Amino acid sequence: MPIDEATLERFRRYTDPALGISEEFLQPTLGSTSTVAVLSRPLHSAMPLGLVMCPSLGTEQTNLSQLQVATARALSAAGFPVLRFHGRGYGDSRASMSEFSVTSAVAEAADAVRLMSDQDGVERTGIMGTKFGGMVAAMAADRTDISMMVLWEPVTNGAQWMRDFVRSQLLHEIVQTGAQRGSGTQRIRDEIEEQGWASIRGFVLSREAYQEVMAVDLLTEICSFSGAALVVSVSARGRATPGVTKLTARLRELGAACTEELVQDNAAGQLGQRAALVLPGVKMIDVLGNVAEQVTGITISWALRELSLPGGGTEDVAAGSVERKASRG
Amino acid sequence: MREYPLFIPFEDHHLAIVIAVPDGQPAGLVALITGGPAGRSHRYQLWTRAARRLAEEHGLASVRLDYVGSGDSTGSRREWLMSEPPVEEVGAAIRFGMDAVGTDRVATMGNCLGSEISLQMAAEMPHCVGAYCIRHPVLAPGMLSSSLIRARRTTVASLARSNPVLKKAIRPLIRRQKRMPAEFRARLTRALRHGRVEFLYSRQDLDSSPLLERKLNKLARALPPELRGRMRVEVLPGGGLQGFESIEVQQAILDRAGQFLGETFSEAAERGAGSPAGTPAPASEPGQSI
Repeated sequence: MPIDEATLERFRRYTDPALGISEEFLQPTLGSTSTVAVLSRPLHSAMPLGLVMCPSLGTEQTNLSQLQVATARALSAAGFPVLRFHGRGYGDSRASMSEFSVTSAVAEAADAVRLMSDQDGVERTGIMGTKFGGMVAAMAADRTDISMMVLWEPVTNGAQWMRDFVRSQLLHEIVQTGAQRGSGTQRIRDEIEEQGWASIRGFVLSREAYQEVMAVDLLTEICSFSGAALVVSVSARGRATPGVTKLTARLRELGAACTEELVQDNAAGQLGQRAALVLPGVKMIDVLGNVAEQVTGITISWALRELSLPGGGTEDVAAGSVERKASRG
Repeated sequence: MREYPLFIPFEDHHLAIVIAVPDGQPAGLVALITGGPAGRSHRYQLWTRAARRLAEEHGLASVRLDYVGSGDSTGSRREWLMSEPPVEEVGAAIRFGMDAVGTDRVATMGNCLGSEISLQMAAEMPHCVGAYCIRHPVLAPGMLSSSLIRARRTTVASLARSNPVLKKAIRPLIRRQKRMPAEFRARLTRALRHGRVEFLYSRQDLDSSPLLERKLNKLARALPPELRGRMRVEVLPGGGLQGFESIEVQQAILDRAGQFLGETFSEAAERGAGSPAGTPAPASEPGQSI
């Protein structure tokens, strides 16, 4: 019996009247790879600003997915079309883990922005990402004509991120076997050099990905972005993380209209590190719910304010709803 | 092969599922069931890779899903209780998948909490020809352990933790007081009456819980002779099965599960269990009934 594709087609989309959104599965080709994306749209009076969410890398991507979905729906309920997609080596992407690279991630993001720009009613497209995804979003914005970006606790130093990523494998080995094989990070670097890849807690890290991530210094990588940027630091302390502070300064130096915000939450250290707290045999608890609510609220307020500014596309959009204080460079 | 990402209605929600279909007529449908909030593709795309290999190497369709409150499914879920596995959601995805691809021959594959759901579905669905259970949490906390775990956030527990002598005395009680629930044995027996069940553990899992190995062996011996041959326990050397945090473990799971499911459906076809393609095409909406 052949598959009844016409019937299945009707299930690609659903509407949620209570939330005021619809969501639709797309199967686009991004960065020359077929993948799965979800387009969230407000049911009524959509803003002319569409947002694209950049995925992260490795387990960070898995651990942040729920935050991404909740944010997409909240933004969409506030009036913004939002596109999220599975990056290379993750989820339903056709590409495997070994095919990931920074170059491919930026290309996927740029293609996703084009896809969003083609949607009905979308006049401007912004890009956003968390942690590693924030780094990719910033690079994509800098290399294209994207004029708006939202970065949540973005990775600014690729080498530092990679060192932590590799160390997580070493820690994993100690937990698994009670001992570390070989001479730590050097052994993993040797593996990457000799066989072209290494396993980092089950993720296939290719030589190309390793080298490209190691080479990223976002402070020097960004050299032309002069649009509007929201940079949110998620910290357990009462001050922004140093990387975010430096990035904000760099963006202002380039002439960007940069807003820096701080979300203080005790679960900040879990951002990207884990999705749930596990009590073995009993239950798992979502640990990032409060962080999601806070950063989403900040982002919605900022986006509405940006749209209400001259040149933002809409002069009368919910200007009165903006309550948060923001400093503009 | 082709893949169809879909939102299917479930109670007040929509479940995000992906149905993977081989090029030819599917020999059956496999439900790929995660152990919690990992998402339908699971970590490191393990279920996505499994779905593609099952389609390309064994001609099997599959359905993978996000539970309510996880992945792209709607709703929110701040807590996942092991005692309340989302069995109904998996059932809805399986029914939809069976109708969509036109088969009533089905098998399940899951890990951790997902393997318990796999077994429950296998026990409840007469058309289920097999269940592949990865790191099944066979042993549940005993009554004393459960009480101690529930009480861990109380002031008394906090005081006990701060006292090294009490802490040392309580810890073994939590670890030792484990049991194999009677419901597990009953479900396994029901599943084996119409299909095969394979459990996969790592050597490390069994070494760290000798009780688990003893209980599984005892259980196998206690099964009626006609069912004994349908249950197997496979053990991977080393560790790393939890979280699939090794390339070798991922590969071993894909190889062994593929072999088990391929053989299971072939055997089912030989004995005429279920039917691969006899169900008429859905007239309206798939998933309304088995």
